[in-house]
Amino acid sequence: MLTGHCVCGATGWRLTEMPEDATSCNCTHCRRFGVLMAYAEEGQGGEITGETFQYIWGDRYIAFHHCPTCGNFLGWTDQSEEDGPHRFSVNLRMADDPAEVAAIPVQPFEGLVTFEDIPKRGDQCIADLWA
Amino acid sequence: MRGTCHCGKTGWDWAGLPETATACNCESCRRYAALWSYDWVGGKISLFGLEETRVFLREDREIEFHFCTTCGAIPFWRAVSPHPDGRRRAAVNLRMAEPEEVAGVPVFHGDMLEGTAPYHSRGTVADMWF
Repeated sequence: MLTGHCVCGATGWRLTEMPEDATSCNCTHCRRFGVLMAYAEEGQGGEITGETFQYIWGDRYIAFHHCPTCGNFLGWTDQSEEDGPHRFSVNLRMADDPAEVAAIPVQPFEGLVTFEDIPKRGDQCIADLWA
Repeated sequence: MRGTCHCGKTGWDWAGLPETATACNCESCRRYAALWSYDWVGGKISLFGLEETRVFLREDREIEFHFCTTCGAIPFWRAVSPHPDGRRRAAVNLRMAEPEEVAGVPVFHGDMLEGTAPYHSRGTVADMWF
């Protein structure tokens, strides 16, 4: 189990399992938040917790969740109305204990043009992109 | 140079190009993932869209973090109170800028959490970006 919270503590997320990698994306949204994203199945794999405000834009498939008090970006949920498990994501920058996620490898994702993973940069891990 | 939140309602202008940026590890900044460049409102920094932001006050209540109430992005912070000379301290988050404009700005690690590590180089914005 891995948990994270925004800086004021009103909202957060939990993941059932430790993520294998963290996606760093250069799209116009992710780059503004320095997002380090982990993905899981909503419900069984975890959830975003607390009362968030949502930002929905573009193709409107996903809702970006923020804390209404401190603004922190927690992750997104799938807006599709189809049955079945939905994916969601969490922003690992909110991890309660940075040391717990420091060694997770970073997977760069070209989210601006090609929409594909690009090769990992050696053994780059979260600690290398962290403050 | 201009930086805007994702939806474009709020942001900043910086006269010229910032000489440095700071990546701070405090409980707030590490979550915002901000890369801060510091100056003064009315100096190198101009802010716009203040009516579109909500303020989160840092624990010491000296700094207002402004986030967009629509898209949640954090374009800047501003001092709660002006300096004795009347100027107001502020910082802009370089993550709101066009990436190629800020890629070469040197980044320094600011250890506000422990206060122990010296202020050391972390390369450039491009190294911390993506």
